[in-house]
Amino acid sequence: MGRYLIRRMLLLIPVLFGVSLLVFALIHAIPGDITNFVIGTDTRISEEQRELVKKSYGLDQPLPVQYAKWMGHVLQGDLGTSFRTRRDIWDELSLRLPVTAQLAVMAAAFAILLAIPIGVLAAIKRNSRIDYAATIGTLIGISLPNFLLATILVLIFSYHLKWLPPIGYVPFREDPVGNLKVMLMPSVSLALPLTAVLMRYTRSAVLEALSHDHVRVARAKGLAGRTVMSRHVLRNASIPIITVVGIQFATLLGGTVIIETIFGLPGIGRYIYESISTRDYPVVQGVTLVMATIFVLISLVVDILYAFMDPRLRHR
Amino acid sequence: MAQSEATSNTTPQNAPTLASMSGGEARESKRPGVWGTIRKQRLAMIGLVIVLFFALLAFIGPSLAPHGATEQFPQVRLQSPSRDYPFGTDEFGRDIFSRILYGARISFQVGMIVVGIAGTVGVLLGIMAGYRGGWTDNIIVLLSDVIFAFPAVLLAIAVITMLGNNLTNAILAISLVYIPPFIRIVRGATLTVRNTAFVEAAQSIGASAPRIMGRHIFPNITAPLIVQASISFGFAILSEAGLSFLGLGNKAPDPSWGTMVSGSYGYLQLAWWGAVIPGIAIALTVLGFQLLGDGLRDALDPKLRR
Repeated sequence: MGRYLIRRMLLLIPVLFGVSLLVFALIHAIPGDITNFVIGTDTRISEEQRELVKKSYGLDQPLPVQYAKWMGHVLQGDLGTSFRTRRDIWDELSLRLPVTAQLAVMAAAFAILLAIPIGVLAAIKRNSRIDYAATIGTLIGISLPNFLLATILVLIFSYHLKWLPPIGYVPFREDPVGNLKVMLMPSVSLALPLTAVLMRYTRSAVLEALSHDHVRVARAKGLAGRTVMSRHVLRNASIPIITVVGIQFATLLGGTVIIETIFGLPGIGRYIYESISTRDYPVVQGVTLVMATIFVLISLVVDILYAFMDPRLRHR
Repeated sequence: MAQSEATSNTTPQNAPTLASMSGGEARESKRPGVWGTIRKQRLAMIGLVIVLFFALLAFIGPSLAPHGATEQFPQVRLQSPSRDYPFGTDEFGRDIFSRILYGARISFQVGMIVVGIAGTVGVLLGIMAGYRGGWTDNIIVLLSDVIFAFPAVLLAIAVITMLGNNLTNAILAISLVYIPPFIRIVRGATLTVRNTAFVEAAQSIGASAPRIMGRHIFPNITAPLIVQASISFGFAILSEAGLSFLGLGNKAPDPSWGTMVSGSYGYLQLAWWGAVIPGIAIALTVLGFQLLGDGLRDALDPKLRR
């Protein structure tokens, strides 16, 4: 177990190194003079002035040196400054991170609360109407683009019933009820694919757990159905379910780009989208790195949880 | 590699077989072929019909379209569905029905190219990783883990930023995102085939590694590959729709379904059909590939036959 954990943590190093290298390479492979994005293409700007700008951003140095310097700063928590606003990227991020975090947590909560009970029920009552309905629901949920669900929700709840605002953001601290109102539709839209996938995996994990011999033994020795379910079936089924939640979290983070743009939420997803459309490369570089790192860390946590919950792994 | 081990563990061996529970289930004794198994599943058949219909639209749709894809009729802007305009018109007075027909071709191209590129690269790297093992395996798995570490939309956006904002680059970006799952599946399947007697026999008569990989391993891993291809085809369409919804990839007047949704989103209150109908077209197509993929999984994987 200890060795497994250490090995798993050590594996973070090459993955994160590769991630940072890929982010760096993506940004620096952009064709064209990068100074154009900082000071524009005005012809009155002389070559010397361009060189000066390059120098101030360290762009005149060889790429490996630039990478090393960038990494040096990043490791000290300095992501650089935006080309466009000249503001510190980390400061901007820490303003936006709570919005995205709230969105993701609410979405995950909706998905878990909806998917797991239905998935368990579908497995217990296999081939029943509930099972069939859950299957159809899952398929539709996987296939429906989240922006289509967002569109339909806005159409019904904002324009038809006029219950919820179609766009805008209120911080929780200023107005908790208003905040939940604006976050409701975005988080439901974001939750859709996770709910669908989770329902599907819950059903199959419970079916798999039900088929084990020890469940039959537990039943045979006269344990109450409820006890068999909670102690022998759900406990075994929970391991793959947790992993799926972890893996799907990446899709959730990616989905925030679209959802935050639709609903005008000032989160990370919209931040990166805006930076890309204004070609603000330091921001794109920094935020992409942070998001990928968050995801890699989440999958580490999931793997560790997995190891703790699965006794077979504990003895490795 | 610990991570890939852990993640591959997480995919339940008997992955959910949604399609299998719908129609009649195949009997082991009769040993029905792939087609026989699929034909007995109602949901898989629905999927096949949707996919075939979609492919047909992609080929002949544009010639059936009553109007041009970017033809504007300013006097009939934002009109609700009618006999002349079956799906209504959008904010420029363009016929949504015609645009859907043209858009099918774009979506089909996206799916074809993405599955082609991601599948080819994934098969080459996956077989190599699984067959050679050792350092080759470590490096390929690491590479795939690194790509996998990015939320898909985000990586695609970054690649499009780098290469330039057009449909071709969007397709390339989506292909890159879809390579890791192919590598994982092919690698896993190769590992199970690698130690079989027929591979050992080929090795013992001195067959070269490329020959073993191409002639002996590849034909035996096509089943999971086909399933993955079908599901990826649908998801690639979904990804392209998401990107073009954000204004990335497809250029505005061209009728990608995602572009149509985002273009009409601002007019939702006046004309819901402009955004909702193309959205439903996306969802239906993806659903078709999902159903077909599930059906194929049941039909091709003998372990799942019940």
